[in-house]
Amino acid sequence: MGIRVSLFAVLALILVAYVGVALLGLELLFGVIMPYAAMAAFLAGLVYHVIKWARSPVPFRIPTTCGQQRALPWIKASEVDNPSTAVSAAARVALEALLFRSLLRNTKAELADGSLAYRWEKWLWLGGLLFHWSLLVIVLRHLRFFTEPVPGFVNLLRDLDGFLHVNLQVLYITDIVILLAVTYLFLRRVVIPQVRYISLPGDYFPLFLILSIALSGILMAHFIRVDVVAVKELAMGLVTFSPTVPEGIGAIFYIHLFLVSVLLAYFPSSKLIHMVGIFLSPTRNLPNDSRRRRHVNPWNYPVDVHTYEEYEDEFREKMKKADIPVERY
Amino acid sequence: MLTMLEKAFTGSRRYWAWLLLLLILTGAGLICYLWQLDRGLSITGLSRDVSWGLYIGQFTFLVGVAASAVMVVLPYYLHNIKEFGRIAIFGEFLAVAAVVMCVLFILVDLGKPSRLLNIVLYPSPNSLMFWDMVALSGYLLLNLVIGWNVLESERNAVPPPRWVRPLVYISIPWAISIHTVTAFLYAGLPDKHYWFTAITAARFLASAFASGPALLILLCLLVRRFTRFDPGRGALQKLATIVTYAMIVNVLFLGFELFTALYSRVPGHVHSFEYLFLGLEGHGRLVPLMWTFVALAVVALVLLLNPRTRAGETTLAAACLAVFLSIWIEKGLGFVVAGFIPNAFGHVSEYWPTLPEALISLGVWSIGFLILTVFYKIAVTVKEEVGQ
Repeated sequence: MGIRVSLFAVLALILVAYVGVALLGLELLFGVIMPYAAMAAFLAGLVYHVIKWARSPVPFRIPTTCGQQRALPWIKASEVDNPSTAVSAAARVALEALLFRSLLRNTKAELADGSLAYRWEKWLWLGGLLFHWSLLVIVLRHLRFFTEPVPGFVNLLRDLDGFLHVNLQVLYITDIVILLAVTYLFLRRVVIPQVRYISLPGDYFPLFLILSIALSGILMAHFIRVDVVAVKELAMGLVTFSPTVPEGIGAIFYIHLFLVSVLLAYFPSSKLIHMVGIFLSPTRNLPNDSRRRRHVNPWNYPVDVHTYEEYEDEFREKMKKADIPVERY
Repeated sequence: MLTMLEKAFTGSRRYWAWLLLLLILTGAGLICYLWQLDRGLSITGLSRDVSWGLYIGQFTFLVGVAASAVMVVLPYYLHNIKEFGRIAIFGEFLAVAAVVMCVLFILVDLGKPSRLLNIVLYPSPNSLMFWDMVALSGYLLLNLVIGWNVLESERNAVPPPRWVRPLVYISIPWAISIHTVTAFLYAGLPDKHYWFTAITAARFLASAFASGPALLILLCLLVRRFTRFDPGRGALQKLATIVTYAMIVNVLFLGFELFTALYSRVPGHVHSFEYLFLGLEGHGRLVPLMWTFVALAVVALVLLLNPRTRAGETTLAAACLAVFLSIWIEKGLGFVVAGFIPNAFGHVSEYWPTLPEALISLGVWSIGFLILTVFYKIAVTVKEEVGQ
């Protein structure tokens, strides 16, 4: 159900862009207005979410821990798994964001001849890691359209990623990897019954969208060629806020651009927001120092407490008479 | 509970220092390789006449090391030699590291590595290069999958998945095939007299089954020295017997070659031997190395054939080192270069690796040892845990 809805949604988007550009000649709409609107929605959405999350009070330290806490000096503490300082908490977040450390530890329990065995469940970690890193490299490679002169590291990245050639044409390794990884991430949702049961349109739609963005990009680079110089002119126009729509860029480019615009606009209101969310997860980004530092709940209202000392002051004489021991005479 | 991979991320200061050293050497090799990418193979000692050198020599040698895992796997799985149960995993992981090095040595030998994919995109079944690619990548996968699953099951104290056993049986002939195909790369070239002989494949297998297990013995001794896991004296002695027989056969095969060449006096056969051991037309760069090979082979045989020195661990280690180095010289350099000398016009143009070429080779070895160290660390940690 979710699969079909998502697939048709993406196909409809492709059709909209094609009809808009190839039949109705709405290059300005799809080449300039849509990207600007999408970027605005993307930035506004991110800012909204970050502010919303940043404003939620985190009165207690609630990090998930999976190692020995810093305690007595002769007990070896696990600083990364149970960070005691902000620096080690930052290191843990960095490892999480860059290497998906907690997913790396995913194990799968299974019965083998009657005894319980835990096997390392590595494929989701591997597929996820390959997908995210490929996407990052691809996004950075696209900087060559938005910068003039192109920074050295972008060219270096292009050379490394495009190490392999096929028929004198550059073949980007990340292009292949991202297609394989997204396909795997989709197939596991379909094939594993439990994962399929919990999968929603919101899981399938981004997968199809990213897959079609990658496919349209690859088609454009290798099969249905477009005027790259004109594409760069358009891209530079967008980033310098002096938009132009050069003649004669193929429809496939506008399909690619429209799908990216949809992705950007869809981003903040979907699960993709985990891009910023991961850095704002209190279970990850807080050091576990509750036993060393007192954390006071900021919205505690003043409570009228009656301490034992005050109690004793009030009833000291009566207590003495009743032979109840007191602390001060 | 840590997953198996994470066992590689916790270790002593010595472990990390060793990894750092390997990373530095890898980095040096990588820098030289970037230079080679820019300038092409002109920065190596390779030439029109000697177009295969250190890279292909090391590749050939390491295919042998990889294939030799079968000398542990075969006795254990087919003949139920229990002693090898403790070290089978080390043989398999050694094969993994060795095959990765093989692939990297092929990669660095390519003048246009960007066209690498052509071997898959335009497969030519009558080319042995194609079959070598198939054999090596298949063998890499087999050993990785078998080794990892057997180790994980050992850790969980459950029998390995049922589908592993057929893979083990496939891996045994597969091991023979990788080195046979490598030998065919040489033995099918009619203009290279030194290689153009049916015994090349047999010689390769013999030297492989001597050098690989010799390295495995040395690695097991290191494992026992630096960790709490003992591979067992029985296993090492059984391996030593294998090394002894293989080394005898290896030297014998070289003797057979010498007989055919020198008795028949076919010039093409004699010249390469002359170049290697005496020098030809005043060129003799490899002569000192080849006599070192002879000396080491003699030392190795003396130490291995004598039961007392074979049983003593220091002398066994010395013997294994001698076996390893002697075959490394003969197969890793001498064999490849001598095939090109003299050239088609009867002239001698010599080959000697340049410094960047040597550094790139060292870099590849470092990557191999990096992989080996990580896998051995995981295996040893699991075995230490299970043993407790």
